[in-house]
Amino acid sequence: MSGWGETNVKESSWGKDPEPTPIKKESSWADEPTETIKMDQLEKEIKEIKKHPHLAEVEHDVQVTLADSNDIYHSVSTFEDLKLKEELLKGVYAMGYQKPSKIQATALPLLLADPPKNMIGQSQAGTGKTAAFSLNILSRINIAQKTTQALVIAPARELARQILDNLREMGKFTQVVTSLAVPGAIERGEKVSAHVVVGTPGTVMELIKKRQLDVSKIIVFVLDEADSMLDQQGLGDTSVRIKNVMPKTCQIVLFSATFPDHVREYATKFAVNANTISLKQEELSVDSIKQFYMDCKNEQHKAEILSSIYDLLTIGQSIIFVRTRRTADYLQKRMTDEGHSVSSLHGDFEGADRDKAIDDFREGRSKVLITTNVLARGIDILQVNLVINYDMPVDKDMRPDAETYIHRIGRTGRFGRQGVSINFCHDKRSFEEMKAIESYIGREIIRVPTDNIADIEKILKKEI
Amino acid sequence: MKKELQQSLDVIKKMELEEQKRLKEIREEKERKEKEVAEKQRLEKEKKQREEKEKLEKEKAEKDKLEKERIEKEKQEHQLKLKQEAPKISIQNSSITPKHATPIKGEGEQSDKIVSKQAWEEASTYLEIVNKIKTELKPKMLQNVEVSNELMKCKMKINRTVGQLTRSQSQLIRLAKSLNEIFNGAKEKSLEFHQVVMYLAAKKIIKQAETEVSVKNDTAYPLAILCVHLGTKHPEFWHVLLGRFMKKCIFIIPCYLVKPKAESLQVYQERLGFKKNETEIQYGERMCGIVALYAAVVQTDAIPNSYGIQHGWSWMARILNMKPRKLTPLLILTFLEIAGNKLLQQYGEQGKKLVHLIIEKSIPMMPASSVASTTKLKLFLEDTVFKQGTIPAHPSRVLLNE
Repeated sequence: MSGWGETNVKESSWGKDPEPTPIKKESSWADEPTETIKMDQLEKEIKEIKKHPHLAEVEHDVQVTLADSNDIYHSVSTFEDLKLKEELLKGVYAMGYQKPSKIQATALPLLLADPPKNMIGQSQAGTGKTAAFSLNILSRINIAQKTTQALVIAPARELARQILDNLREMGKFTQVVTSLAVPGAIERGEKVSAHVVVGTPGTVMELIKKRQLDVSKIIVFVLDEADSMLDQQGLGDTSVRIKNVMPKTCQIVLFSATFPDHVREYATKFAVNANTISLKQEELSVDSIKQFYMDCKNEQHKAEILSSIYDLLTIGQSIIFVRTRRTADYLQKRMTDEGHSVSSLHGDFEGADRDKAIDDFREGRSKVLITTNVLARGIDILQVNLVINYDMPVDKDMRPDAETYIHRIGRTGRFGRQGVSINFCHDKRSFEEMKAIESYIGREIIRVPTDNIADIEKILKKEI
Repeated sequence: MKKELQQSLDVIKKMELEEQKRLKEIREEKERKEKEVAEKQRLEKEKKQREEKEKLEKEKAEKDKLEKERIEKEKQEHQLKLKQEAPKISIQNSSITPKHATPIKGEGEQSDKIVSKQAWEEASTYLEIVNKIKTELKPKMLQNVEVSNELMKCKMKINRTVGQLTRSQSQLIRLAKSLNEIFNGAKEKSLEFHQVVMYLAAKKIIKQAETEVSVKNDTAYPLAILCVHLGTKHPEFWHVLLGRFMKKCIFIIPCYLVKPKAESLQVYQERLGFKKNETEIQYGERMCGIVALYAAVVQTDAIPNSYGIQHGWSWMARILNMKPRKLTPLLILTFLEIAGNKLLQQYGEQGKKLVHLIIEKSIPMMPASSVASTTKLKLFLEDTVFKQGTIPAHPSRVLLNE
């Protein structure tokens, strides 16, 4: 702080913004209207937004259904409009957010309104759902009160860690205390009293049962990747058991990119009387992700074509999804021999090994990640601009799995950025799997013939 | 007001003088060190030494000549800027039109641009070189099927190599070697082939900055070392690389474009280099990717660098001399995040004054529409220079020994 010359700038003088508020946007890029509108005008407004072509390019319209039709619906166009606490707004800007995404602009006013209402929110992968519920949490907790006031559960360890990192980053100018509740993170008998706890359902339930975590003061309960969290075949049971011990007044927030019909119905019972934001079927994947399929001759040919992709495209980092561990091992060896830095992550990995694989990839120590379904959901690594479905996704009954597909390709094209997804087909079966998914998502997956490298380049270049 | 004005003029003048003095000192220091190295080598290898020395001297002479020219240029430029400074500040608070901020209005033909004359002249040379390759040399070579195939092979190899880069030192060395071999192989074929291959590599490197560095800006460091290495082995590579830098991102020059009232937004955005369907935020991010790589190049000192931090200083001085635009705070922030440490380390008190100038003069002039990035810039400076007295080296600046 010394040696700064005669002008003597003090830290405190920084609190005063040189620009008087309210901030008027001076750019000629048209923005969404900020005025307050009644429910019956909502449709009109949505039509209005459609008229702005530049918005339609990257952000889809969402359908908003309010729990109480007397409510007034506000949409915002800047973060200032949300009237966040100053230290929170700082956190938002420090993270590089410039203006709210569609889901944030729509969901945040509803989430932040008092008295708190439940929400079921759907928005495409990579459109800022995590930041939306994080802002809600950080706005609602009372820092002075040293008890757990918000709980977030997510289906995978990596995801819980990522949400926590995000929350911390966003709340770094506040005194918020956070805690991670995944296997191995909390000592036996250790009491948890962090303001916000983020974890996986199994571990969270354990902590509650063993009275390490006091849930009586919780005011916000978030389920990220909610369709997966509510799936009766999987984590559903545990999620319900956790919900049942939450205070009755607590705000329940469900977020996901996908809500298959059978889960949606269940979700409305889980989060009663909720405001909902939903997407139309054909808008499940974003425009900014270009989708291709490559016609390969056989398994061997797939591997060769895979290599050539890395000779043609400009790739930051890439994720390759495979069906079996054997394929993962084979590709890892092959690509390492070709000079790539490769990480591999599959269900057999546990705790620290999983953390290391994902950290290596996140930090860019490895540039290619080969994985089974473990990572399909939520992982947010901006520099990933290529996702390859080396094997098409199928569910446990070996049927084409469109939901998983949407989550997989959603690892790229985050926040309207350009992304590429390439599917490999090499026989009738894989071709049909691809076609089934194409018809479900209602978007064309463009064919790339593989006979000639120059042609591959031409087609990819034309589309990207 | 007038007194203040005079003070700031004095400060700038003083900064410039001290900068020149410092540059001279640095150069002398560098020369001395280089001589020492040459001496050592002579003792070790007598045969190699003669060739080495001749080469070194030739290079040095060239470098000195360039340096002299540059300093002369900069001196002229700065005097011009100073002349412009007075009206600029005095009308700071009134409704200022971009034209007033034009450091050089030129002969009228450059009225659509805001750029210092020297910067534009420098840029023109590089832009001409890449344009010539793009519109004449490359199409000519592609006519020959055999040559065209050869080029495609080189391009694919370059593509894979650049894409594989990480912070691992051993890997960087391997990849740099491999690219150098591709360049050498091309040189053996013909000078033209060499030119085009270097052009393809420069194109690819800038593309990598647009896609990867733009979202994770510390990936610029290893990429920059790669650039510097290639520039050392193949000095002509600098021309094509800088040409591509400036062609894809006018803020490297640095230059702003004026939007005439009659021009449509679409045409204006095309001139700025917007891609189809690209939003303003995405465009800004992509531009910052390129700026981050440029910043990483000028601050590279892990290996000898003939395009060093003095170019970073010029860039900063030039951009601070123009009225900030919406994207300016992000450009400055990106530059400081990557090269701020080296800049402050190299220019000491002058560097601090530069930071001061940003805070005192530039930030208050940032347009209201850039509040998000201006806040981010302020928070960054608060976190670094104010709390720690310096901009600490980026943790990813060093390579990993593995």
